[in-house]
Amino acid sequence: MEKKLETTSHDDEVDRISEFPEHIIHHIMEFLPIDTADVTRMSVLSKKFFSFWCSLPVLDFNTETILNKSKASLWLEGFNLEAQHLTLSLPLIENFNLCNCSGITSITLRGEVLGSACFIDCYGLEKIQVDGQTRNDDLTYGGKSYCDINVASTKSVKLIIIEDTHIYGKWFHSNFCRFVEELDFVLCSFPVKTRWCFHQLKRLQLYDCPCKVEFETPNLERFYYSGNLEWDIPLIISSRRFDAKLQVDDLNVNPIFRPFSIARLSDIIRFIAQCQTLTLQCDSA
Amino acid sequence: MASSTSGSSSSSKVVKIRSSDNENFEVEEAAAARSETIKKLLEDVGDDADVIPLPNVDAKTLVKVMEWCKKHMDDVDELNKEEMKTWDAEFVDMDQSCLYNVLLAANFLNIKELLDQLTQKVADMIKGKSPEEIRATFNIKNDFTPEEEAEIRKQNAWAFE
Repeated sequence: MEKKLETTSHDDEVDRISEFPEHIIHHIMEFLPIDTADVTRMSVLSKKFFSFWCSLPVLDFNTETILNKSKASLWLEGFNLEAQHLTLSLPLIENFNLCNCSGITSITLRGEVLGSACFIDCYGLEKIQVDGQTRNDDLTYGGKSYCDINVASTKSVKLIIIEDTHIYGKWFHSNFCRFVEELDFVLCSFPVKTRWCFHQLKRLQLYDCPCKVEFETPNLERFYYSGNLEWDIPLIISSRRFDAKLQVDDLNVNPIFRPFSIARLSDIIRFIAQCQTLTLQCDSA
Repeated sequence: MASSTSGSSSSSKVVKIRSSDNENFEVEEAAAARSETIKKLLEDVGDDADVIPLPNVDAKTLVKVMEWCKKHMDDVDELNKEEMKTWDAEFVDMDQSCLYNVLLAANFLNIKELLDQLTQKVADMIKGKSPEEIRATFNIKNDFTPEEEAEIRKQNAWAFE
């Protein structure tokens, strides 16, 4: 009887997993929660797995040292890595910042208490994904080129801030358009005239952004725009009565230009005509 | 002649694929195109395609993969998501050797979603286990000397407590 039991499992007694290509093993490791040590335990399985483990690109933090602080931030600045994907599980980090790091082509971020994440000037970064259970409520991206920001699996990201970027092309098909409730653009430019829909958007703010885009935002509650009178300004299409605030400079330049300024201003107001209240603030130089 | 422009219920084109053990299959193009590899091949050869040979995938595995592709042909709406989840969970519940074959096929055929589901399944088989248990599950031979193994354990003692 015992013998029979042995033979039934005989088929499975070959070690095939060790023959897997390295990237598949890494992929499997990425699905394991790093904080529970499962991945590290794999390092002692065999020499082959030790080498798989050594070549897995993860950053290992001693979490005990940051446990005592009430708010844990992690800043990574100026790293130059070989082109690679990075998965970070940060169970104790509330603020995550990645600045001026090159070589990371895509990054997956997980963390149960993660509140805000910021990615600034990371050359080559093409994809940001926030995964699983997080408290992540805001995400900032700053960089010259398009980045695929995917927050679909964590519904908690409410605010997205985009800085210093030309917004065109693929941006208009971004995954976050369907979820985001608050959106800030800072020093961006929108050179292409097109319509961009945000069904969930409640607050839209554009700081110093020349903008040809028409925003279709049926649920908008608040809109803020600051900029120069001579720029293109965004058209807001909303069936809801929203509150708008407009902050412009250069209104009281040379008196000769003042009529132009006033005319331009009335033009601009027409663009956000559907608003309920309008606050206008003019800064003198 | 002009019948193709109207009338037919759908434009479900069929493509022929051949497994490594020379079995031919006819699959709806929309299902086969879930594989980036096949999609690329179809684009390259265009309509001249006779049979697409898949030298790395045997018939048994190909049947499994295409079963998944057929189910995942269209994006599922919210209503069917739960049902799909159950279906996926049952699909990946297969014996180890079959799981490996399908996983390697998904890798070769470049079907990311399927590959993710299968690697997740393997990760679940590892999760929470001791090294000894993992070795037993996957028949991995420990080729470390006891000293070597102790040294690695010592370096990352936190993980082995």
